[in-house]
Amino acid sequence: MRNDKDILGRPELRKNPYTVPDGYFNSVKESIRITDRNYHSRRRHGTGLYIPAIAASLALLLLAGIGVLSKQEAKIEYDSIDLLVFSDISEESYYDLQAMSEPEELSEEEIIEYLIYTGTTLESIETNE
Amino acid sequence: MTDREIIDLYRNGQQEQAFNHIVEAYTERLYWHVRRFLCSHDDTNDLLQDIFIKVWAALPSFRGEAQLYTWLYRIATNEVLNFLRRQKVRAMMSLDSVSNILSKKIDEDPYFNGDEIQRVLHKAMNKLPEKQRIVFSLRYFDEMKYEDISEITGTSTGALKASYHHAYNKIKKDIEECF
Repeated sequence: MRNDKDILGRPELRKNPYTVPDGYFNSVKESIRITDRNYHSRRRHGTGLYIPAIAASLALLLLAGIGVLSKQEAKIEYDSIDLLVFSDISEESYYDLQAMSEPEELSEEEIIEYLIYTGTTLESIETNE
Repeated sequence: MTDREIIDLYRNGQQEQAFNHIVEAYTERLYWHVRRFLCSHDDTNDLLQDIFIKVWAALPSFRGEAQLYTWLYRIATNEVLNFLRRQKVRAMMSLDSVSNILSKKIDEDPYFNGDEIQRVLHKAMNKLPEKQRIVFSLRYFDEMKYEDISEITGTSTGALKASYHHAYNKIKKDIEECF
């Protein structure tokens, strides 16, 4: 393959024609070490410390969510449109739902109004007792 | 520190120290290996960082069946080939060839200090098929043994010798046509 005229046999052709900026190899070695250290610590922490932290965060979120929902449930007051919409997907009728949403305690005025409307006298109440 | 001592260090739980020794011993060698394929300092610099991330990630699976240095060259060579394949797709989209793109990089490279014959030699290398290029680069410039190149490429030494012979003659012809 090689003879005296073989141009590729010249030793100077095997020399490296490329160069690098001054101080490149020192800086690139440091950069590689830093990059890989970060990569290493991301991987280690990713599998070691992050999982319990994420689990704890999810548990906190879950507890907070349950708390908020139960508070909202206690305060919930349906308006009539909500009830109409909800009645479509519920086994209860609109009226049942409306009745469920009304406050259980009646005021004194409402009781008197009811008694007048039904014609109930004080005597008849006393007689029943 | 020898390759064996580096691996022993790694297996004794001193992974970061072992990796630092690899970086110290192989950064320059792998840089020149990659640079001969990519021609550009910036591309080589980027790929070198990726190569060492791969090395770090793959170190736990290094079983010591191959030599550490051929294993490192294998990772670097695979990364180079992947990079060149991506370049090939880009070149197809721009209706150019990878060898033209790489030749332009040699012409525009402010860090190319070779003479005209070296310029033609390195441009001629870019025209070679992948395997011929790898074997030519490792044998001609690094004077690597065929057995070691065989470990890197996974090709028999006989096939490598034939590839080197073809590559050598093609490059010689290209240079002779110019001078």
